[in-house]
Amino acid sequence: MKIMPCPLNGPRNISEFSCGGEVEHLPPPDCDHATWIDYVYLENNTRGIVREWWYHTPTAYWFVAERDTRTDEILRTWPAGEFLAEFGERR
Amino acid sequence: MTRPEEFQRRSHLYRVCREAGAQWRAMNGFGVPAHYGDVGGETAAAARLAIADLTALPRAGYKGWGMADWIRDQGVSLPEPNRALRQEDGTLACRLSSGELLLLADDDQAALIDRLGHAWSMDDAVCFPVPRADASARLVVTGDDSAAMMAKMCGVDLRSHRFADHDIAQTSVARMNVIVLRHDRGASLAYDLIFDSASAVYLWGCLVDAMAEFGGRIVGLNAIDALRG
Repeated sequence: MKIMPCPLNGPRNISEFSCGGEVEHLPPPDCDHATWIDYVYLENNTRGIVREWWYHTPTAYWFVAERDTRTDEILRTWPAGEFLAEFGERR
Repeated sequence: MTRPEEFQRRSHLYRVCREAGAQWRAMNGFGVPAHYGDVGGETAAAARLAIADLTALPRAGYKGWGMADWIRDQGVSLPEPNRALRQEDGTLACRLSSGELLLLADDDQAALIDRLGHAWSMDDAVCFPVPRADASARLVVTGDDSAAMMAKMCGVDLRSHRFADHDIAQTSVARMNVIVLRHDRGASLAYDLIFDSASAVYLWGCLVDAMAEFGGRIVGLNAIDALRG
């Protein structure tokens, strides 16, 4: 069973979580349609280390996890507030 | 004889409890199972393994970025997230995250819950009330075998040496989202389960099934009160 280290609840069964997709830059509000389509619909599908939004369903809690897509190893997690403070609100 | 239909408020489990032979008493506007005809046996069972429906007991919730400041201003002492702290009037303040609090009363004297309900107003709100009284159900699992029984239904290690009194786990129990609070009654190990009231009959059935191998029983509030002493 795969274990996710949740910043609020500690180590938990991965079945308690949903992945919310990669953390991405929000495009400027006046950007063109192609940029919005890329942001909303297209996944980067990176092979390597990615940062993703994850959701702990029993607590309705969003946070960010760093994961290696080659090994499916979870390297680090942040509460959303700490992540945004460290990396900027537009990531 | 008191019947649950005589009351405006009823637990989702009242039909199940009635079929199990519940004898009713009034509490907080509800008809609640006081006992099932064997008070002595139920009290003894509660120390080994038993479940009871506590849905009638008062509770409330508040959530939002400003919750902690507002609730402290109201004189509530806050614990760390995923811990509960008993307040002066006996209410348990269960902190579910930095911005969410669940308040649980163990009897119908819910002074703090009533006071907060009157203090909150839409006009100057920095947090919002969560409709716990109506949207959630509350059950309790008591007794020495309760940790072993819960291990059949929940992946979190709830054994008494790993999960302290007043610890909280918000997790999956029988594939449902459940707030598990260890809340010992007297010297007896006990776990309170707070969850979506619409699924109360389902989870009750899972608990009855899970406790059968340990000889667990359904008990009324009188037996739970006896444990509290």
